[in-house]
Parts: sequence; structure tokens; C-alpha cells
Amino acid sequence: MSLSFLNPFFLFGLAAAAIPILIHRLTKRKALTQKFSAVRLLLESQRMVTRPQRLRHLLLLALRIVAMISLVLLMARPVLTEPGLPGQEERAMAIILDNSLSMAYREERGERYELAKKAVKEVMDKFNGQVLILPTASFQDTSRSRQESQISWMTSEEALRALSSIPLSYGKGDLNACLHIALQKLKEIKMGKEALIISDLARGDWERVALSKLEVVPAEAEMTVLRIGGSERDPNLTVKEVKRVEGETVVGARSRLEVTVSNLSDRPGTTLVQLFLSGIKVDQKSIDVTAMGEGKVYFELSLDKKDWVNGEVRLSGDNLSQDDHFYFPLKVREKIKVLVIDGAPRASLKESESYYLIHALRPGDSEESPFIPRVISEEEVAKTDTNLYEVIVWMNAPRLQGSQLASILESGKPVLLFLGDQIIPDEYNQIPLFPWRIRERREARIGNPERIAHVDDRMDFLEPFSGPGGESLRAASFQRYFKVEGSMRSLLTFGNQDPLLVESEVGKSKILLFTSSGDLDWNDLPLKAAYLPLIQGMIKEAVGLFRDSVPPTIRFGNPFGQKTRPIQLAGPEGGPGIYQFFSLSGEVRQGVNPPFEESDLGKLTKEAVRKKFGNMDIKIMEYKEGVSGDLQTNRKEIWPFLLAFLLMVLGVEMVVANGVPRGKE
Amino acid sequence: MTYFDPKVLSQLKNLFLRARRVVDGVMVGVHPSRSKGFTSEFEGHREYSQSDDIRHIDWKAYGKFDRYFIKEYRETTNVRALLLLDTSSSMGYGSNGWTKFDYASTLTASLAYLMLKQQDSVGLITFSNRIEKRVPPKATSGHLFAILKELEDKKPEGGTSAGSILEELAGSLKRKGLLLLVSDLLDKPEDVIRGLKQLRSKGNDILVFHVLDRDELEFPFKDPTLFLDMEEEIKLLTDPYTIKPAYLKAIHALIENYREACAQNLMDYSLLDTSIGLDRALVRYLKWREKFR
Repeated sequence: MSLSFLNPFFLFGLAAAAIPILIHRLTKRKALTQKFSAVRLLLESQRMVTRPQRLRHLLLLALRIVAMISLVLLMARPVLTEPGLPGQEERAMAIILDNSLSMAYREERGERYELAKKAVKEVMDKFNGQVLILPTASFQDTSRSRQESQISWMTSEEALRALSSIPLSYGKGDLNACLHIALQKLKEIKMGKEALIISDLARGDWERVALSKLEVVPAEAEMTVLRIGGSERDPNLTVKEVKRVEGETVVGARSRLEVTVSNLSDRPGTTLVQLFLSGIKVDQKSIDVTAMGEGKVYFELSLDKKDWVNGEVRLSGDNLSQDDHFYFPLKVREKIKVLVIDGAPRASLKESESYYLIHALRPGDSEESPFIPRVISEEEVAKTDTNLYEVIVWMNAPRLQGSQLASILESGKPVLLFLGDQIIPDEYNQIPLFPWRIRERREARIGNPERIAHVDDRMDFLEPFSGPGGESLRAASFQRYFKVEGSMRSLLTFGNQDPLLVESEVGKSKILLFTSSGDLDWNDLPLKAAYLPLIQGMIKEAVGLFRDSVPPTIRFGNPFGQKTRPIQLAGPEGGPGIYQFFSLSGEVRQGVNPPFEESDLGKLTKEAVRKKFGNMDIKIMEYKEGVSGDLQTNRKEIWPFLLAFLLMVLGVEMVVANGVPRGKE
Repeated sequence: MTYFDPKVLSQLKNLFLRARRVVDGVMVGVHPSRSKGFTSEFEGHREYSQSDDIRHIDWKAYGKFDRYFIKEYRETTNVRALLLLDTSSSMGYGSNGWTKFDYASTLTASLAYLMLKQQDSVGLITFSNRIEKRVPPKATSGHLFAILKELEDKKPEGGTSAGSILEELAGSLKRKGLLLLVSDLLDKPEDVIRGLKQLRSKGNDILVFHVLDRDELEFPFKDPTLFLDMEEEIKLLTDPYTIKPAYLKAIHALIENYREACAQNLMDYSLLDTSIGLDRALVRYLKWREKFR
């Protein structure tokens, strides 16, 4: 057992013990000289008084010196340490270092990850045995067995060198995997063993920790958790999601982005949301978000060039700046050219088959519409270059040219078919590529039209019609339609289970078939509010606009959807950002963002952590400078005793100083 | 009160004037007619016989009765007083420019003046650690100046040995009488008391005038002080603040010791603070004188 000091610098203050002596000497008043007649009497009195007085003065002086020394020692924080646990050099320590994103939180003392590394260094300075350092955020993608084989015991000097090469991750950590490896490795060791977890105890990583998930029975290791940072939830705001809610990312068209900001704090927060497109700030808005709530900010977009755009939303900085950036790519495309082949053209446009469809694609002939439709008759098909169009729509055409359809589908262009009174089912059915069989024409009884009963809301364009938003669609009445059979996916279905809209993949393209007419001949759908979004949705679905305009982002650490090697276009190197892939189907970009869980800086309480470890005896400590010394040595702080002693000394001093009557002034 | 105010008296350099001022002040209050005196008192008449001195014939009675009558007086006792004045160095202490010795010599002169006025015989002994001077008791009016001369010539010096002096006097005094001791009594009290007892046992009446300065009674010092004894080579560096309680206790114990011893041995004891008037001492004497008659 030895005495050491956590703040030994303060021991210089022991010189302050001389202060009471100096004060005693300096405050001694200069003696006057006085002739007096009764000095003999004074002498007698002096004999009676002096001894206790002198003793009292000496006692006071001693008490004050002791008080000063106690105060200095108190500031130097003395600790009783029990060094040299038997065979300390025979000990082994597995250090699990939390390098997940939440450790990037910057507090007054600095970044938490730097504090964690400092703690490791402090531990290593006093440790002589074998060491393993396991960063939590490195054990996610690779297989566990490979990880285990790569890990080997090191000396503390080697561990310190290894520590400097462990970066802070942008992702989440896997404490379970680390614990598994640590305990497995410790189990193989035949000496004193310790496991040290250095973490901020943020919920993101710790919620998933469970002993039951560990495949290794915990070895008889001493388990210590060194908490970096406070136990309270740290305030943090982050971008949860960016999505397009209106319009299309089409040149010349207006669209609207919705940014969801999440306040993961116990108190309301305000932040500035900035939108960057291709590195240029285009807009910014301020938002107040309630405690533990979410807020939404909307940005209007008007894009004028066909290309990929690297989008980024930034929040005004907080203490965890890494999650204040949200990356998303935008695919801006040209307007969709739609070729409509009208099987029943009329002199009056309004009576033409395509009248309502054209107005649905280009309402009010607006320039902002993402569609450029062109209507031709059947006769003109042969003279028209279908390659100039992205979608081909046949409306009420009596027959289809099989070869023409084949070439369209082969080129990957989707085809939409609307039936009607002009069509000849057999003409359709005999086309080899036609995936269905058109059967008889069904007519509803008068006063009892068929209505749409089922909407396949797994399709993006039908999702708005699945709930109350689909009332208009379900209100549409259908008098006539064709019964269709075959291998298909029914997107809209009547109450009698007959399909209204079916889809089928053909090669790398698809055909959508509307079994009723596209005008008012057989139904009143063109008069319903649902008609426009349905028609536009069908076209967008056909050309993959939903899928491509704002590709879904992934969270850092999750695998990319593409197999090819990515190229990072934006964001910190190797971290979140926008990644580019090239495949046979062309260029694809994907946004990668920090895991949302890592932004939640709520902490597990000590009790919750103990609960996670079940019966294991676990020591949980808060990291302060020098506290790491406790880990190897059984250290006991003695400042409480010293403080009690100091108070006692001051109490006695007060009693001695005031207890003796000082005479009347 | 100006008669007795030490501050006023201290301005009078001549001791006789001081004494007369004090005594006159006291007598104004006590006797309206100073010419009467105290020496005899008429008792009655008896018939003349041949052995009688014709000077004592009452001629008024002869004119009335045509016979010779002699006036008879009751004879009064004349006091033989001896003033014992302490002239040791400690008597030289005084605050406000008025030493204990100034006070004591003025008192002694006043008493001598008063006594001689009353036709008592008065003597003076000055002493320190030895008897300095003796002026034998006489009742003549010119004797006062002999006493005053001694007092005026004297300065406080030498140590104190009041106890041994009193013992010595007890052995040497042939006739009993009245002894008036004027001293600060800063000697070993047991020695002083023993000497007083011996004098008392010889049939002497004793009046003790214990003269102390206000500083000695109240010890008003505050700052750390090096005290130098006025009689011996004693120095004491002390903090009056801390020593004061013990000192006051000691000085009051000393006073009480003297007061009790005097009371027990039928001696008159007066504590005289030099800052208060001298009349108190004289009145004290006069009261005693009244009893003595």
C-alpha cells in the first residue's frame, strides 16, 4: 500500500505551511517600553497566565499549519494504491474501444474519442501485461472468424502504436462482436485477465448489447466499463431523411424536397437547414424543433440541366457535427416524351380517345409538366420513329403490330395499353409477346357499375390511393371492361376480382394494360380527381421515375446495392457522402449517411449496463484524468477523510482561538 | 472640590501652600470657628486655695459672689503622631504628571499641618529600604517647616522594604502614639502586615494610607510592552491584553489582603487613588481624631 497523488503539482503548495508562521511573525506588534511600579506583580501574573497562553499560541500555530498542509494535500488528491497485484506482468487486458460515431461528440474537454484514446494511454502507461485493443466499429462487415484470427496479443508499447492507427468511425459499433472476441481471447489466456470497455454508453450501440447474444461464456475476467462523458443525454440535432414530396426531378419542372430534422435532445432546439446542390448553397431555412421531436423543412427545386446532382443538407453545427450533413443524389432527367397512338381519333379533339389522357399528362398545357405527349393515329405509327419516345401508349387500337410491339419492348421502352370498343381481342391475343388473353367484354348492370375495390399500394404510384386519398378513385364507375386472364400482377381490381389495371414484365421492359377505356366511353374515371395522378403515376412508374429521381440513401456501414466498385464524389474520405457506380444499365449514385442511431446520445444508466451483464461483476467508472490508474491498482481516494480531518482541525482551531476570554477592550 | 483636585494642587509648587489649601478646604466644612481649638474644655468652679495659681481665678465670679473661684478645665490628650512616608522609587510612578510621591508628600504635609494646628505633636520618618530621615515629633508651629523642608528635599529613590522598616520602628519607638503610614505598599504584604502588627501590639494606633496610581489599579495598557521595574533590574516583555485579567486579580488580592489584615488588627486602612482628591484622607484622619478624643 503506497501513497501517491493525482495532482502532485499542488504539493508545491506545501510551502504555504509557512504562511501561519509568517503571519504570526509579521503581525507581532512592536513592543513599547514602559516604566512601571508593580512589575513584580506583573511577573506573578505572567507566571499564572503565560504557560497556558504560550501553549495556546503554539497549539493555534500548529493547528493552522496542519490546516494548510491538509488543504494542500486535499488539492493534490492523495490516493492509497495497492500496487503490484501478484504477478502483474502476467496479466492480460482486452480493451474494447468504442470508436462509433457518437464518440465524435465534442465536449469541453475535447472530442470524446480523443479522451477515450487518452484513457487507453493512461492505462497502458501503468500496465505491463499483454493487451488487445478492439475498436467496436471495425467488427461489422467482415466475418467473425476472420476477425478473431487477425487479432493478437500485444505489449502495451505495441498497443499504443496500434491505437494511433485506429480512426474514429462514421458508423455504429458492434459491442456484442467485440465482447465475444475479447472474452474468447481472454478465455484462452491462463493468467489474470481484465476486460475494459471504454465507451460513452450511448444508446445507439448499447441497446443491442446482450449477454445472451454472446456465444462465449464469459471468462472469469474482471470487467470494467469506463464511461467517457456525462450520464445525461447530450443535445443533438440531425437530418433524419430527405425525400421528394412533389413534382419530379425533371428539367424545367418544379419539385419539392422534404427534409426531416430530428431533435434528439431533452430541450427544444433551433437550427439552420442549408441546402447545397453540387456544392453550391441554393437555399436555407431556420427551424425550431421540440424536444425529442421532428420538424420538416421544404425546399422548392427547379432544375435546368439533365444530369446527376449531388445534394447535401447541412445543419448549423452542434457538438456532434458529423451527423449534421445528409447526402443525397438527384437524378435530373429530360421531360418524358410520351407517344400516344389514338385508335379512335375524331374530328373533335374532345371526342378523341386520347383527349383526357393528354390533358392529364399536360394539364392546362403547362410548360412545367414533366411530360411531352404526342398523339398520332394508327396510320402514322409506321412513319414514326418510336425510339424518340420513352413511353408508347395505345388507346383503343383495334389491333397491334406484333413486330412493332416486340421492337419497342426490346428497346426497353414501356408500353401502356388502354382497351375500348374498337379493339379486336383476337388480334391482341395472337401476338406472341402479349402476356395476357383478352376474353369477353363485360358490361355492368345498369345502375350497378363496377368499382375499384383493391389497390396494390406496393407500387409507388398507387400508394397515395391506398387510404382515404383513394376515395375519388374508388368512386369511379365502370360500365364496360374486358375480362383479362393470364400471368400478371393486378394493380387495380374490381369488386368482382376482375382486374382493371395489370402489369407484366416482358424482357427488360413492361406492359401495363388498362382493361377499360381511357376516355368516358366505358367509365367516368376521366372526370374524377384521381384520373390525373393515376395516369401520370402510371407513366412515371413505367419509366422508373420514382426509382431513379431520388435514389434511397443507405446508412454508413450498410452494404451498397451495387456490386461494382464505388467512387466517392462527396463527403469526408471513406465516410458518409455520395458514391458513384457504373454498371451495364448506366451510372448510379447513392447517398451514404451516418447511422441515425448514432445520433441518439441518450445514455444507459449504470443500472441498465449492469443489467446487460447479468451476474457478471462489473465496475463502472466515469473517466476523469488520472482515473485510469484505478484500473490496475486497487486505488482508494482519501480526500474524504482528509476533508473531514481538515474540518475537524478548523473546528478545533476555532474553539481554541475563541474559547479563551480575551478580556474587556 | 478645587481644594483637593490633584491637578490643581500639582500646579502649586510650594508644599506648604498645598497643605494649607487642603487643610483649609477640609476645615471649612468641619469647623466654622478655627480660633476655638481643641486643647481644653471647661468643667466647673472650685474655691481658691493658696496653692492655686492666681492666673486661674475667675474674676467675673469674684465680682458676682465676692469670693475667689478657680475655673477648672478637663484636660485633653495631645496626640503624638508619626508620619511614615514611603520614598522608594516605586512612589515615583504617576500618570498625568502627578506621581504617587507628589500625592503622598502633599498628603503628609497636609496631615502635619492639620495636626500641628490642633496642637498635636507630629514627627516624620521617610523610608525606602532603609529609614532615610527622622524628624522627631514636636507640637511647635515652627516644626511644620522642618517637616516640609524634609518633604521638599526628598525625591523617590531606592527599593522598598516597608516590612522590615516597620519591624525596626516597632523595636525602636519608645512611646506609643499615632502612626500614619503613607505608602504604595508594593512590598511583600506578609512582611508589611507583620511589621504593622508589631507596631500595633506596642499600643500604637495606625492609619494606613495605601496610595496607588490609577494605572496600577486599572492597568490600561494594550500594546505589547517591555515593562521596566522602577526599583529593581526586572524587565518583562508581555502582551498586556493577555496578562491584564491576571494582574487585576493580583492587585485586588493585594488590596484585599491589606484591607482584611488592617481590619483584623483594628487599624484604619484607606486606599487612595492618586486621581481623586486628598480630602478623603484628611477626613479619614479627622474621624479617627474624633474617636481618639
